[in-house]
Amino acid sequence: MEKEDFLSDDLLKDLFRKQSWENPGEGFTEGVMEQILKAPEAVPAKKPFYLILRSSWPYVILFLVTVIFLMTSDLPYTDYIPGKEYFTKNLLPYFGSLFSGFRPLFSNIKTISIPLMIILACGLLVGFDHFFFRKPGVRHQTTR
Amino acid sequence: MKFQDDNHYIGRVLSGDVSAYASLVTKHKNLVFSIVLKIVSNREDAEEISQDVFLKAYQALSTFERKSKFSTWLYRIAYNAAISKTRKKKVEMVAIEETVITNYSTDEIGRNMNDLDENDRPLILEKALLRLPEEDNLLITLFYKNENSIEDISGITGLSASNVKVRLHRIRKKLYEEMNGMLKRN
Repeated sequence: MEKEDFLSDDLLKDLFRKQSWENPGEGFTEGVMEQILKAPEAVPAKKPFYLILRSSWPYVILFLVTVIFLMTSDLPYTDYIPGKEYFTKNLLPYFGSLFSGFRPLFSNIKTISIPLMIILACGLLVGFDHFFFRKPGVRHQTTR
Repeated sequence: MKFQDDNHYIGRVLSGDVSAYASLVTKHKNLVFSIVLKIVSNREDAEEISQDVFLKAYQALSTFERKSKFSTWLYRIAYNAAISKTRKKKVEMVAIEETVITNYSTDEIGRNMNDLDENDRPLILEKALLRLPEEDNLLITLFYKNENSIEDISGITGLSASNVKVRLHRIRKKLYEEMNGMLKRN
Protein backbone atom coordinates (compact mmCIF):
# COMPACT_ATOMS: atom_id res chain seq x y z
CA MET A 1 0.00 0.00 0.00
CA GLU A 2 1.34 3.38 -0.94
CA LYS A 3 1.79 5.60 2.11
CA GLU A 4 2.86 9.20 2.15
CA ASP A 5 6.25 9.56 3.84
CA PHE A 6 5.44 12.86 5.50
CA LEU A 7 2.39 11.25 7.07
CA SER A 8 4.08 8.08 8.26
CA ASP A 9 3.89 7.95 12.01
CA ASP A 10 4.69 4.83 14.00
CA LEU A 11 3.46 6.29 17.27
CA LEU A 12 0.00 7.04 15.89
CA LYS A 13 -0.18 3.75 14.02
CA ASP A 14 0.66 1.89 17.19
CA LEU A 15 -1.93 3.79 19.21
CA PHE A 16 -4.62 3.28 16.58
CA ARG A 17 -3.80 -0.41 16.34
CA LYS A 18 -4.68 -0.81 20.01
CA GLN A 19 -8.13 0.65 19.42
CA SER A 20 -10.91 -1.72 18.46
CA TRP A 21 -13.59 -1.09 15.86
CA GLU A 22 -17.10 -0.37 17.01
CA ASN A 23 -19.54 -3.27 16.65
CA PRO A 24 -23.19 -2.94 15.71
CA GLY A 25 -25.60 -4.82 17.94
CA GLU A 26 -26.19 -8.56 17.86
CA GLY A 27 -28.26 -9.78 14.94
CA PHE A 28 -27.16 -6.96 12.64
CA THR A 29 -26.40 -9.25 9.70
CA GLU A 30 -29.65 -11.14 10.21
CA GLY A 31 -31.52 -7.83 10.27
CA VAL A 32 -30.02 -6.75 6.96
CA MET A 33 -30.72 -10.10 5.34
CA GLU A 34 -34.27 -10.05 6.65
CA GLN A 35 -34.85 -6.67 5.01
CA ILE A 36 -33.38 -7.89 1.76
CA LEU A 37 -35.47 -11.05 1.70
CA LYS A 38 -38.63 -9.28 2.90
CA ALA A 39 -38.75 -6.96 -0.09
CA PRO A 40 -39.25 -9.09 -3.20
CA GLU A 41 -38.39 -6.10 -5.38
CA ALA A 42 -35.05 -5.75 -3.72
CA VAL A 43 -33.17 -7.64 -6.37
CA PRO A 44 -29.97 -6.20 -7.76
CA ALA A 45 -30.90 -3.50 -10.24
CA LYS A 46 -30.41 -4.27 -13.91
CA LYS A 47 -27.08 -3.06 -15.13
CA PRO A 48 -27.62 0.24 -16.97
CA PHE A 49 -26.98 0.16 -20.72
CA TYR A 50 -24.26 2.82 -20.57
CA LEU A 51 -22.30 0.65 -18.12
CA ILE A 52 -22.49 -2.29 -20.50
CA LEU A 53 -21.38 -0.02 -23.33
CA ARG A 54 -18.61 1.49 -21.22
CA SER A 55 -17.13 -1.88 -20.38
CA SER A 56 -17.40 -3.13 -23.96
CA TRP A 57 -16.20 -0.14 -25.98
CA PRO A 58 -12.67 -1.50 -26.61
CA TYR A 59 -14.22 -4.62 -28.15
CA VAL A 60 -16.61 -2.54 -30.27
CA ILE A 61 -13.71 -0.48 -31.63
CA LEU A 62 -11.62 -3.59 -32.24
CA PHE A 63 -14.52 -5.16 -34.12
CA LEU A 64 -15.05 -2.05 -36.29
CA VAL A 65 -11.33 -1.73 -37.07
CA THR A 66 -11.17 -5.43 -38.01
CA VAL A 67 -14.24 -5.13 -40.26
CA ILE A 68 -12.90 -2.02 -42.01
CA PHE A 69 -9.49 -3.61 -42.40
CA LEU A 70 -10.87 -6.81 -43.90
CA MET A 71 -13.33 -5.00 -46.15
CA THR A 72 -10.72 -2.65 -47.58
CA SER A 73 -7.67 -4.92 -47.75
CA ASP A 74 -6.35 -6.72 -50.80
CA LEU A 75 -5.30 -9.75 -48.84
CA PRO A 76 -6.01 -13.10 -50.47
CA TYR A 77 -9.34 -14.69 -49.54
CA THR A 78 -10.86 -11.41 -48.39
CA ASP A 79 -12.70 -11.24 -51.71
CA TYR A 80 -14.88 -14.05 -50.46
CA ILE A 81 -16.20 -12.08 -47.49
CA PRO A 82 -19.94 -11.61 -48.04
CA GLY A 83 -20.88 -7.99 -48.62
CA LYS A 84 -17.36 -6.81 -49.40
CA GLU A 85 -18.33 -5.64 -52.86
CA TYR A 86 -21.31 -3.71 -51.49
CA PHE A 87 -19.04 -2.18 -48.81
CA THR A 88 -16.40 -0.93 -51.27
CA LYS A 89 -18.76 0.12 -54.05
CA ASN A 90 -21.62 1.66 -52.05
CA LEU A 91 -20.78 2.32 -48.41
CA LEU A 92 -17.27 3.75 -48.79
CA PRO A 93 -18.30 6.31 -51.46
CA TYR A 94 -21.31 7.19 -49.32
CA PHE A 95 -19.09 7.95 -46.29
CA GLY A 96 -16.71 9.83 -48.59
CA SER A 97 -19.49 12.12 -49.84
CA LEU A 98 -20.83 12.53 -46.29
CA PHE A 99 -17.46 13.77 -45.04
CA SER A 100 -16.91 16.02 -48.04
CA GLY A 101 -20.35 17.52 -47.30
CA PHE A 102 -19.17 18.48 -43.81
CA ARG A 103 -15.79 19.76 -44.94
CA PRO A 104 -16.95 23.28 -45.97
CA LEU A 105 -18.29 23.84 -42.45
CA PHE A 106 -14.80 23.51 -41.03
CA SER A 107 -12.83 25.08 -43.83
CA ASN A 108 -14.78 28.34 -44.08
CA ILE A 109 -12.72 30.19 -41.45
CA LYS A 110 -14.35 33.56 -41.99
CA THR A 111 -17.78 32.55 -40.77
CA ILE A 112 -18.58 29.79 -38.36
CA SER A 113 -15.86 27.19 -38.59
CA ILE A 114 -13.76 28.17 -35.55
CA PRO A 115 -16.66 28.53 -33.06
CA LEU A 116 -18.15 25.36 -34.47
CA MET A 117 -14.91 23.47 -33.98
CA ILE A 118 -14.61 24.77 -30.42
CA ILE A 119 -18.18 23.74 -29.64
CA LEU A 120 -17.62 20.35 -31.21
CA ALA A 121 -14.37 19.79 -29.30
CA CYS A 122 -15.94 20.86 -25.99
CA GLY A 123 -18.96 18.67 -26.66
CA LEU A 124 -16.73 15.69 -27.34
CA LEU A 125 -14.71 16.29 -24.17
CA VAL A 126 -17.83 16.62 -22.03
CA GLY A 127 -19.35 13.58 -23.72
CA PHE A 128 -16.26 11.44 -23.15
CA ASP A 129 -15.97 12.59 -19.56
CA HIS A 130 -19.61 11.82 -18.89
CA PHE A 131 -19.38 8.45 -20.59
CA PHE A 132 -16.16 7.23 -19.00
CA PHE A 133 -16.24 8.81 -15.56
CA ARG A 134 -19.91 8.99 -14.67
CA LYS A 135 -20.53 7.32 -11.33
CA PRO A 136 -23.49 4.98 -11.23
CA GLY A 137 -26.07 6.20 -8.75
CA VAL A 138 -27.60 4.09 -6.03
CA ARG A 139 -31.24 3.47 -6.72
CA HIS A 140 -33.94 2.50 -4.27
CA GLN A 141 -36.19 -0.26 -5.43
CA THR A 142 -37.85 -1.39 -2.25
CA THR A 143 -41.32 -0.37 -1.29
CA ARG A 144 -40.78 -0.38 2.44
CA MET B 1 -14.05 -16.32 10.67
CA LYS B 2 -12.05 -16.53 7.47
CA PHE B 3 -13.51 -14.66 4.53
CA GLN B 4 -12.87 -15.05 0.83
CA ASP B 5 -12.28 -12.22 -1.61
CA ASP B 6 -15.24 -9.82 -1.94
CA ASN B 7 -15.58 -10.52 -5.66
CA HIS B 8 -16.30 -14.16 -4.88
CA TYR B 9 -19.39 -13.20 -2.85
CA ILE B 10 -20.43 -10.50 -5.32
CA GLY B 11 -20.38 -13.01 -8.16
CA ARG B 12 -22.52 -15.42 -6.16
CA VAL B 13 -25.06 -12.72 -5.23
CA LEU B 14 -25.33 -11.52 -8.82
CA SER B 15 -25.89 -15.05 -10.01
CA GLY B 16 -28.85 -15.39 -7.64
CA ASP B 17 -27.37 -16.67 -4.37
CA VAL B 18 -28.72 -13.93 -2.09
CA SER B 19 -27.46 -15.67 1.06
CA ALA B 20 -23.86 -14.98 -0.02
CA TYR B 21 -24.52 -11.33 0.75
CA ALA B 22 -24.61 -12.20 4.47
CA SER B 23 -20.86 -12.90 4.29
CA LEU B 24 -20.22 -9.46 2.82
CA VAL B 25 -22.31 -7.88 5.56
CA THR B 26 -20.50 -9.79 8.29
CA LYS B 27 -17.11 -8.98 6.80
CA HIS B 28 -17.67 -5.22 6.52
CA LYS B 29 -20.27 -4.41 9.18
CA ASN B 30 -17.82 -3.24 11.85
CA LEU B 31 -16.04 -0.77 9.64
CA VAL B 32 -19.25 0.51 8.03
CA PHE B 33 -20.77 0.94 11.48
CA SER B 34 -17.63 2.68 12.76
CA ILE B 35 -17.56 5.09 9.81
CA VAL B 36 -21.21 6.00 10.29
CA LEU B 37 -20.89 6.24 14.06
CA LYS B 38 -17.95 8.60 13.80
CA ILE B 39 -20.11 10.99 11.79
CA VAL B 40 -23.54 10.68 13.41
CA SER B 41 -22.26 10.09 16.99
CA ASN B 42 -25.32 8.11 18.00
CA ARG B 43 -25.32 4.30 18.13
CA GLU B 44 -29.01 3.82 17.32
CA ASP B 45 -28.89 6.13 14.32
CA ALA B 46 -25.60 4.59 13.22
CA GLU B 47 -27.07 1.09 13.31
CA GLU B 48 -30.13 2.13 11.32
CA ILE B 49 -28.03 3.96 8.73
CA SER B 50 -25.60 1.05 8.48
CA GLN B 51 -28.47 -1.35 7.74
CA ASP B 52 -29.71 1.04 5.08
CA VAL B 53 -26.20 1.25 3.63
CA PHE B 54 -26.04 -2.52 3.15
CA LEU B 55 -29.51 -2.52 1.61
CA LYS B 56 -28.56 0.24 -0.83
CA ALA B 57 -25.33 -1.52 -1.69
CA TYR B 58 -27.24 -4.73 -2.37
CA GLN B 59 -29.66 -2.98 -4.68
CA ALA B 60 -26.86 -1.28 -6.56
CA LEU B 61 -24.52 -4.26 -6.59
CA SER B 62 -24.87 -4.82 -10.32
CA THR B 63 -23.71 -1.26 -10.99
CA PHE B 64 -20.52 -1.83 -9.02
CA GLU B 65 -17.66 -1.75 -11.49
CA ARG B 66 -14.84 -3.85 -10.17
CA LYS B 67 -12.26 -1.22 -11.05
CA SER B 68 -12.11 -0.08 -7.44
CA LYS B 69 -12.25 -2.15 -4.28
CA PHE B 70 -15.70 -3.17 -3.08
CA SER B 71 -14.80 -1.87 0.39
CA THR B 72 -14.02 1.62 -0.99
CA TRP B 73 -17.33 1.65 -2.87
CA LEU B 74 -19.25 0.44 0.19
CA TYR B 75 -17.57 2.89 2.57
CA ARG B 76 -18.37 5.72 0.21
CA ILE B 77 -22.06 4.79 0.36
CA ALA B 78 -21.74 4.69 4.16
CA TYR B 79 -19.97 8.04 4.28
CA ASN B 80 -22.55 9.72 2.04
CA ALA B 81 -25.47 8.22 3.95
CA ALA B 82 -24.05 9.42 7.26
CA ILE B 83 -23.29 12.87 5.90
CA SER B 84 -26.76 13.27 4.43
CA LYS B 85 -28.31 12.09 7.70
CA THR B 86 -26.52 14.76 9.64
CA ARG B 87 -27.30 17.27 6.88
CA LYS B 88 -23.66 18.14 6.68
CA LYS B 89 -22.09 18.71 3.35
CA LYS B 90 -18.50 18.00 2.50
CA VAL B 91 -17.88 21.66 1.89
CA GLU B 92 -19.06 22.44 5.38
CA MET B 93 -16.29 20.39 6.93
CA VAL B 94 -14.90 22.37 9.79
CA ALA B 95 -11.45 23.62 9.00
CA ILE B 96 -8.95 23.36 11.78
CA GLU B 97 -7.75 26.71 12.89
CA GLU B 98 -4.05 26.97 12.32
CA THR B 99 -3.77 29.45 15.15
CA VAL B 100 -4.46 26.86 17.82
CA ILE B 101 -1.65 24.65 16.60
CA THR B 102 1.45 25.33 18.56
CA ASN B 103 4.85 23.75 18.45
CA TYR B 104 5.21 20.32 19.95
CA SER B 105 7.69 17.55 19.78
CA THR B 106 6.44 14.13 18.74
CA ASP B 107 9.40 12.63 20.60
CA GLU B 108 8.32 14.39 23.76
CA ILE B 109 4.77 13.14 23.32
CA GLY B 110 6.12 9.66 22.63
CA ARG B 111 8.15 9.75 25.85
CA ASN B 112 5.19 11.02 27.84
CA MET B 113 3.05 8.28 26.31
CA ASN B 114 5.57 5.68 27.38
CA ASP B 115 5.33 6.95 30.95
CA LEU B 116 1.64 6.18 30.90
CA ASP B 117 0.17 2.79 31.70
CA GLU B 118 -0.24 0.77 28.50
CA ASN B 119 -4.01 0.61 28.98
CA ASP B 120 -4.25 4.39 29.31
CA ARG B 121 -2.52 5.21 26.02
CA PRO B 122 -5.43 4.33 23.73
CA LEU B 123 -7.72 6.29 26.06
CA ILE B 124 -5.69 9.45 25.46
CA LEU B 125 -6.02 8.91 21.72
CA GLU B 126 -9.72 8.19 22.03
CA LYS B 127 -10.34 11.36 24.01
CA ALA B 128 -8.26 13.42 21.59
CA LEU B 129 -10.17 11.96 18.64
CA LEU B 130 -13.47 12.95 20.22
CA ARG B 131 -12.30 16.55 20.27
CA LEU B 132 -11.84 16.55 16.50
CA PRO B 133 -14.64 17.33 14.04
CA GLU B 134 -16.39 14.08 13.04
CA GLU B 135 -15.07 13.94 9.48
CA ASP B 136 -11.53 14.62 10.63
CA ASN B 137 -11.84 11.82 13.15
CA LEU B 138 -12.94 9.54 10.33
CA LEU B 139 -10.20 10.58 7.90
CA ILE B 140 -7.36 10.00 10.34
CA THR B 141 -8.85 6.71 11.53
CA LEU B 142 -9.12 5.42 7.98
CA PHE B 143 -5.51 6.36 7.31
CA TYR B 144 -3.75 5.20 10.45
CA LYS B 145 -6.02 2.47 11.75
CA ASN B 146 -7.56 0.95 8.65
CA GLU B 147 -4.40 1.77 6.67
CA ASN B 148 -6.38 3.02 3.70
CA SER B 149 -4.30 4.74 1.05
CA ILE B 150 -4.77 8.40 0.12
CA GLU B 151 -6.53 7.22 -3.06
CA ASP B 152 -8.90 5.00 -1.07
CA ILE B 153 -9.80 7.84 1.27
CA SER B 154 -10.27 10.11 -1.71
CA GLY B 155 -12.63 7.50 -3.20
CA ILE B 156 -14.58 7.17 0.03
CA THR B 157 -14.98 10.84 0.87
CA GLY B 158 -15.02 12.38 -2.62
CA LEU B 159 -12.22 14.76 -1.63
CA SER B 160 -9.31 15.16 -4.01
CA ALA B 161 -6.14 13.24 -3.16
CA SER B 162 -4.18 16.43 -2.56
CA ASN B 163 -6.92 17.73 -0.29
CA VAL B 164 -6.86 14.48 1.69
CA LYS B 165 -3.09 14.82 2.16
CA VAL B 166 -3.35 18.40 3.37
CA ARG B 167 -6.21 17.58 5.69
CA LEU B 168 -4.45 14.55 7.14
CA HIS B 169 -1.37 16.61 7.78
CA ARG B 170 -3.39 19.23 9.63
CA ILE B 171 -5.51 16.71 11.52
CA ARG B 172 -2.38 14.89 12.68
CA LYS B 173 -0.95 18.13 14.01
CA LYS B 174 -4.21 18.93 15.73
CA LEU B 175 -4.41 15.44 17.22
CA TYR B 176 -0.91 15.76 18.63
CA GLU B 177 -1.82 19.13 20.01
CA GLU B 178 -4.83 17.64 21.79
CA MET B 179 -2.83 14.69 23.12
CA ASN B 180 -0.07 16.96 24.25
CA GLY B 181 -2.53 19.09 26.18
CA MET B 182 -4.03 16.04 27.85
CA LEU B 183 -0.66 14.60 28.79
CA LYS B 184 0.41 17.91 30.30
CA ARG B 185 -2.79 18.07 32.33
CA ASN B 186 -2.15 14.52 33.55
